[in-house]
Amino acid sequence: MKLNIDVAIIGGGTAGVAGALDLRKQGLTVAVFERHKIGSQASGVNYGGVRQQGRNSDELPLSKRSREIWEQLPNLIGSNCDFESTGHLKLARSEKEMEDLEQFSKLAAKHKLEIELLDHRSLRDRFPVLGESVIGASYCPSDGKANPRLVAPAFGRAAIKAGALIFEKEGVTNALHSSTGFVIETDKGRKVYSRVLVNSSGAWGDTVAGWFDEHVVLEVKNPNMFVTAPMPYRLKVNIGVSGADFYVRQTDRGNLICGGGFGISDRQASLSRPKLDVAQETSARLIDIIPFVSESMVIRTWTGIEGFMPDSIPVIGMSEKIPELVHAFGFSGHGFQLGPVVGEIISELVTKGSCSLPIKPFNINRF
Amino acid sequence: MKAERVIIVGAGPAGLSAALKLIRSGIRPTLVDEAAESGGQIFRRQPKEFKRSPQVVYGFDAKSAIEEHRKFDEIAKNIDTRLGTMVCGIENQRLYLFNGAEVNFLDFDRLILATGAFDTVIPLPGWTLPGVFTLGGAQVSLKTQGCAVGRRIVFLGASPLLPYTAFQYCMAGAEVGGILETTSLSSKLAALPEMLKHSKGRKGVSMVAKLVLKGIPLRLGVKPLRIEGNKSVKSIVFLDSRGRENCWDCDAVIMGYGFKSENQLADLAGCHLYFEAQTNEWRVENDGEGRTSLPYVYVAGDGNGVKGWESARIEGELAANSLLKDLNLVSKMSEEIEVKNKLKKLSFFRKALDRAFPYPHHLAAEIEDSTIVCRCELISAGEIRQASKVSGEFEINRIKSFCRVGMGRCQGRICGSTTAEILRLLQGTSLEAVGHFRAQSPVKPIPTQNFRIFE
Repeated sequence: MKLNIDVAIIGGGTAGVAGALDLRKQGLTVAVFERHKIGSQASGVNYGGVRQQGRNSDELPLSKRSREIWEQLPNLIGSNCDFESTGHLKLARSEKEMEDLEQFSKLAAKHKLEIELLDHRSLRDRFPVLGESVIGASYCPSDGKANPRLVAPAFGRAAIKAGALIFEKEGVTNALHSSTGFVIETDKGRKVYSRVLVNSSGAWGDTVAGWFDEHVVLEVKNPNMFVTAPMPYRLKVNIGVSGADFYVRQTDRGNLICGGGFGISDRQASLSRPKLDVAQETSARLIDIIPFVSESMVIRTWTGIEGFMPDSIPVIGMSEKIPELVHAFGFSGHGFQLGPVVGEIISELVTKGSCSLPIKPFNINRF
Repeated sequence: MKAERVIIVGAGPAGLSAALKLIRSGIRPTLVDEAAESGGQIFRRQPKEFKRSPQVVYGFDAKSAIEEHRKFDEIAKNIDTRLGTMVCGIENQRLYLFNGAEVNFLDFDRLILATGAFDTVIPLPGWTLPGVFTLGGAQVSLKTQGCAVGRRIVFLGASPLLPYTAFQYCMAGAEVGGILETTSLSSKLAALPEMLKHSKGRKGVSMVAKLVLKGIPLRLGVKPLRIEGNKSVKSIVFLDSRGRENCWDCDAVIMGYGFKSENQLADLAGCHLYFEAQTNEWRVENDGEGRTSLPYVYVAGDGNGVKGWESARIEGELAANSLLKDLNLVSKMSEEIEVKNKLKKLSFFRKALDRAFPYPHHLAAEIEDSTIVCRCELISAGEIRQASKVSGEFEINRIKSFCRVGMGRCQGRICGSTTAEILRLLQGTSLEAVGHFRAQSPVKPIPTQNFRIFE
C-alpha cells in the first residue's frame, strides 16, 4: 500500500488532529497515523482542566490564544465538548505558597490574564466548602473545565469532514528523510511519501525525534486519577494547589474527579496502571483541604501515558536537523488546554516555516 | 521451604474445595469472601442468629449444604479466613482488600480466583422502580434472610433458576403471581431429552410441574413490554406467545436472564480473557486445569464459566492441584481423568440448560431509545446509539468514554451485556468485536472516609 501526501502526522492526540484540521483549511493533503484510536492516550484520559493560571510564563501567550479557540469549538468542530468557564482556584496552604501565587498574579497582569487574589476570609466566604488549612488562593475566572474524552475525537471527525485521512490502529514503525522528502512505514505495511512530517506522538515523541538523530530526554509519567460516585453539587470551580500535587473538580453530575501522584506504565505496550495507594494518599490530602470529600465513595481509578520534559514545558517547533519536520510533543502533564492552539501552530509552521506566537522557548535543541 | 503465600478469593464451593486441597498438602491459604457468611451463592449461610433448618433454607441441596458448612468451619480454625472482605484491587502480586472499615494489602505468590457469577439483566421501561429485583439477589434474600422481596411476585426472564426460585418462594409461603419466560416451548422440548438424563434435570422438570399444578400461571415465549407503577411496582405488561397484550398485578418483579462469570478481578490482574461463543460471554483464558495466562493466577468455579456447584467443587480441586504441581509439590489427583470426565458430563447438562433457556439477544438489542440502560449514570439506549452513530465506533470502552455508559459504581456489571447487544445490532458487528468493559480498581466502591491502607 502506498500513499503520497503533503503532510504526514504521527500521533492522533489533540495536537495531531487539530493540526490536521487546520492544515486542510490551508489546502494541504494530510494523513494522521495513530497506533490506537484518536484521543486514546493522554489527550483522552487527562483531568480535563482548561487552565491558563499557573503556567510557565513562556506558555502564557499560547495559552491565551488557546483559550480563545476553546470558546469557538462549537463552530470549529461542532461541539463544545462540555467546556465551561467555571474558573480555576489555586490554593495556598502556607505563606510561601501564597507568595508564589502573588508572584504569578504579577506575571499574569503582564500577559493581561485576569487573576484575583483571595485572602483567608474572602476565600472562606466565597468558597465555604474549603477547610481551615487553606490560607489563601488565586482565582482565574476565565479558566474552566471540559470533557477530555470528547475533544480529540471531535477534532478528528472535523478533520475527516474537511478531507483529512485518519488511519487508526496503525502505528508508524519508522520514518526516513531524504532530498525527496519523507518515507514513512507503518505496522500495516503501508509506505507513505510526504513532504512534511509532524511529530505529535506525545509520550513517544522522543522516539520519533530519535529517528532523525534529535535526542531529547523525555520522562514517561502517569498522572494518577480517581473519581467518586455523584454527590450533591457543591464545587463549581476547578481546584488546584500551589505546587500542583493534587487537583479536584466536580462534574455536572456531581462526581468528583481527583488527581495526584503517579501510577505506572509500560510505554512499549501502551499499558498504564493506576496505583490504589497513590489514590488513597491523594484522597487524604483532599479531605484535609475540602472536608466534604470524606462523604464520597471512590468508584474508579485510572491513569494514562504522559511525556514530561526536563523543564516541564513541551517541545514545539521546527526540527533543528531536518527541514520540514515539525515537533509538538512532551506536554508534561498540562497539555489539554493547549491542544487547540498547538493545532494552529503546527499548521503555521508547515505552511510558513515560522509562527506568529513566541515559540522559541519550546525549541527542541534548548537542552 | 519458604511458605507459599496463596490467596483464594471466594469462599463458595470452588474456593472451599481449593482450600481443602491445599490444606491437605500442607499449604495454608488465606480465604477471602466479600459476603458476611461463607457458602457462595448456592450454599450461602444465614446469619448465625437465624435458626431456620437447612431443609427449609436449601431444599433438596440441604445435605450438600450441611457438609459444605461443616468443612468450612473446620478449616476456619486453622487458616486465615476473611469474610465480609472485598477484593478491590490487584497490582502485580499485591491484593487490596476492603473489610468495611479500612483497606488492607496482602502480597501473594499464587492467587486462586473463585469469584462466582452475577445476574444478567435486560432493562425495560419501569425496571428501576422499587420492587424490581435481580434473580440471584432475590434468591439470596429468601435463602439467607428469610425475606421475600414482595407480597405478590412475578418472575420474568430466561434462566433455569427462575422456576427454581419461584418454587422456593412458593414453598416459603410467598404469593407467586406467575412466571413469564421469554424462552419458547420448542427450545425446552429440544433440551428435554438431555435434561431428563440428569437427576437435577428431572428435579427441575418436576418442580415446574408442581408449580403448574398449584395453579401458578406460567407463560412461555413472552415479550415483556413494561413494568408499571408510580412510586413502586404495581403491574407488569407483556405480550404472550400469541402477541396478545396482558397485564398482571404484582408488587415485585424478579428478573433474571442468566448469569455471567465475575471476571473483573482476573481482568484487573492482567489475565487474558476470550470470548466464548457458545455461551456468549467473556471468559478467563485457561488450560482446562485452572491455569490462566498468568503463571501465578488460577481460576475455578462459576467465575470460570457458569456451570453450577458440582462443577465448581471439582474445578476448585483441579485448580489447587495445578497450583501444587506448578510448585513441584508432589501431588497426585489419582482420579484426574475420572474427574475430567465428570466435568464433561456435567457440561452436557449445562449445555442442555443453555438450550432450554436461551438468552434473548433481540430483547436487549432492540430496547427502546428512551429506556434507561445504565442505571448508575442514567444513560438511555438512545444515548448509547447516538454516541455510536456520531463517532462511527462500537468498541464498548470507547462508547463508554463518549457517553458515560458503564462509568458508574457497578462498572458495567448491570448494563454491560445490554450495551454490548445494542452496539452489536446497531453496527452490524459481533459481540466479540464490541468487547467488554475493562476492569478498573476499586472494582466495587470504597467510601472515601474508609479509604486508608494498612498491611
